[in-house]
Amino acid sequence: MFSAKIKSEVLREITDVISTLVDEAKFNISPDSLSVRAVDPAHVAMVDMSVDKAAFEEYKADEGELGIDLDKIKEVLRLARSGDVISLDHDEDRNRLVVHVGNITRQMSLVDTAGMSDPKVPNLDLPAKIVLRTNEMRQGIKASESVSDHIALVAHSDGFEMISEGDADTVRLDLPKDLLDELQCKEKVRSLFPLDYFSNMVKAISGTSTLTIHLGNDYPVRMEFTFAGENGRATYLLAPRIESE
Amino acid sequence: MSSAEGSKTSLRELLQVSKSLKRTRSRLEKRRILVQFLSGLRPEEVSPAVLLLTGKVLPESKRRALNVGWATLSKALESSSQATLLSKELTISHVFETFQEIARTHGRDSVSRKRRLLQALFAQAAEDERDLLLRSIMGEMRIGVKEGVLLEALADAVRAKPELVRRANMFMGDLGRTAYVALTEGVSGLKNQSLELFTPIKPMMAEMADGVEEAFREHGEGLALEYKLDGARIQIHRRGGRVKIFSRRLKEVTRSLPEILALAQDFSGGDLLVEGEVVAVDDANRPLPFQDLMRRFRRVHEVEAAAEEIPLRLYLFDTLVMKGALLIDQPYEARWKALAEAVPVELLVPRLLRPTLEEGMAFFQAAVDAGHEGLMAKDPGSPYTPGKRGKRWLKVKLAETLDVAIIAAEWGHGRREGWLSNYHLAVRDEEGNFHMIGKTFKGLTDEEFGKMTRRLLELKVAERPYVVDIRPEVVVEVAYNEIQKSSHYPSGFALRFARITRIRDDLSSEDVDTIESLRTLYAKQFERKGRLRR
Repeated sequence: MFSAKIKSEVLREITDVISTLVDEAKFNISPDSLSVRAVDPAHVAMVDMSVDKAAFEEYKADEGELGIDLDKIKEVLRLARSGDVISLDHDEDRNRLVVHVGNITRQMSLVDTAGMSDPKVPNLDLPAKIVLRTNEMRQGIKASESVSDHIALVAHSDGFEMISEGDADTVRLDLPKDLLDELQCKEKVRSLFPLDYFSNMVKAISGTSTLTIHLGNDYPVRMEFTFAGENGRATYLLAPRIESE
Repeated sequence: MSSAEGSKTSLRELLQVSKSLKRTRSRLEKRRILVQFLSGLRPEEVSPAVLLLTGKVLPESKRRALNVGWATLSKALESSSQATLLSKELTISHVFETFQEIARTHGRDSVSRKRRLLQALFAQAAEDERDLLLRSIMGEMRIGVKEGVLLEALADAVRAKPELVRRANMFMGDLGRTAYVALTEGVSGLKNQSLELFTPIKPMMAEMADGVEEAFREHGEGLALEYKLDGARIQIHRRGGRVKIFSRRLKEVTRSLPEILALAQDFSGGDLLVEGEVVAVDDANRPLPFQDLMRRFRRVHEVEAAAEEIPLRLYLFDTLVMKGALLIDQPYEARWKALAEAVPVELLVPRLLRPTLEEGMAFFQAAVDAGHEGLMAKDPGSPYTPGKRGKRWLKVKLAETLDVAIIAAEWGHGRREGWLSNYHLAVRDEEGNFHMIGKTFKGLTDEEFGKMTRRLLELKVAERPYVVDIRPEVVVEVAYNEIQKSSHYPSGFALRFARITRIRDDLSSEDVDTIESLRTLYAKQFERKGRLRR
């Protein structure tokens, strides 16, 4: 069984975090929390996210799974006004999600979860750790977008850099150590990533003020952040582009 | 077939099989290799594996849906340096699912989403695997196993007669599905295949004859001659009073042809499938140019207005189902009888049964005088063989024209600057390989050049200096003055003074005339022209 009430803003945050990578997701439901683990169709990026009961206005659930089409949730969110509380109830007999927003009730058919398995999170040993403000990162991405379609993340003992090199122009965001919340980095590391993925991920975490980045050399990046007023935690993994000479 | 718990088959294994097939020339050995490979597949892998082995990515009906242009493909290749998170060996199933996903992707961001999917696929593929995928995507038919060998291997695998497998495949029209049915349901599954109303079936095709005399030589005295109309071929299905109309390329066109639909509702004969030709006509019932007809086919909006502007005439010439009974194994003459009983006589194509040669020649002249293309000659004892081209049906045309595919095009100079204006023309062989037989930049209007350029660029698969190679999907009818021996083209033939007479949107690359026809036509030229002795 699953029955919950949630503020529309919080539901939007949850939806955004996942929908940047997949259109449909399997939500794993438990009495205390709700979680999703999904990999994008190209297997380039992964999200691993969980939200505590406390993020909800009301929350009652047994162990279970809900296959949800995130576009439908977005349609519902478009109907919601700021401050609206949305209620979600699983109608188990018909396997539908009954959604109330304002005076509207939407009977939402669920997606079959049979073919949706939880991907295994790869075990990554990433030597550098950077904690920074999400706003800074957003600026860096904004500056890069017109220049190139990939972006290099670089960490060294003095700070963190984002570099985008196009055919003609180069954009570089420098964040020296004192502008970072935290920096652990003994040796310089550098990895290159597809900008479209990276940008979409960072844009999806609107409600987040700080971001923890774990970085290696030509290795995937792991980004950790909290959302939904610290009641949600998520990890993004993004595979690098391999630079060939 | 191995159990569902068996491990998934890798693309690598398929590639190995494809390589060993290439290494042997023995048909028996090829069959043995195929049987062994196909029997070891999981059920859901059968169709995708067969498609990949024959150089395709999706079933025929969906092939165009991939819709990946050269730009997307080359971008994906360029960035195939993108790593993936879950590195696994590529499986046949995963490859197929990715292609399906690409085909499903449309709307906003679809180009970049398609590119990402391709990227991920290429990133996981080794070089030779990438090569196989690329060639399949670009629709290069030159690679792969031939349909005939594959059908025989399927017959071996389930101990069926090859004829049974061939027949089932003819009804399904999809080699992947045929393989799936054969391997999962065996002989009984194959026997259950039949023609289904409302599922379009590939039409029977005709070889080219050089003249009425040749038709007589081929079919003997008992032959039937029908007008060959300058129109578009359609098949009309009717079941339980409902009617659906399909084009030559198996696309449903019911909504574009309301007056044909109305005619079909009045036929007697219960559940039926009849085949015919629609021709655009003017007020005096004279055939209108082919382009006007094509406009009607594309039209889905304001059909009524179009129907008034460009009236159509229907001429029927065959039936595959009548009163619910399958007639394809019946001889031509019996099918015609069934057709004639069910439809008004004025809808039957003008025809002459068992004519003398003289009557036949006069009939040919009458067809041409009435503005039609020429004649169809049909062997009265012949069954209907869907999707097959053979000599049981022959086309006799006045103009020396061939239906050819455009396989490449050259950028124009001077007045034609900015247009792809010199087209490389090709005929095909039995196995679907294309052979170039000439070039032409004649026959199109400026407007058509512009349109053709855009269309060809969408089909681009590679760019050389001055020349763009394209997927052979555009079919044109070309007229020519003579077929010459050529050392320039590997095909051995060249068309002299080729010019485009029509853009055949109603035809697909499978309808392109064969090198065999060309060979025959070449030999026939000398019956009229005389030959220089060397």
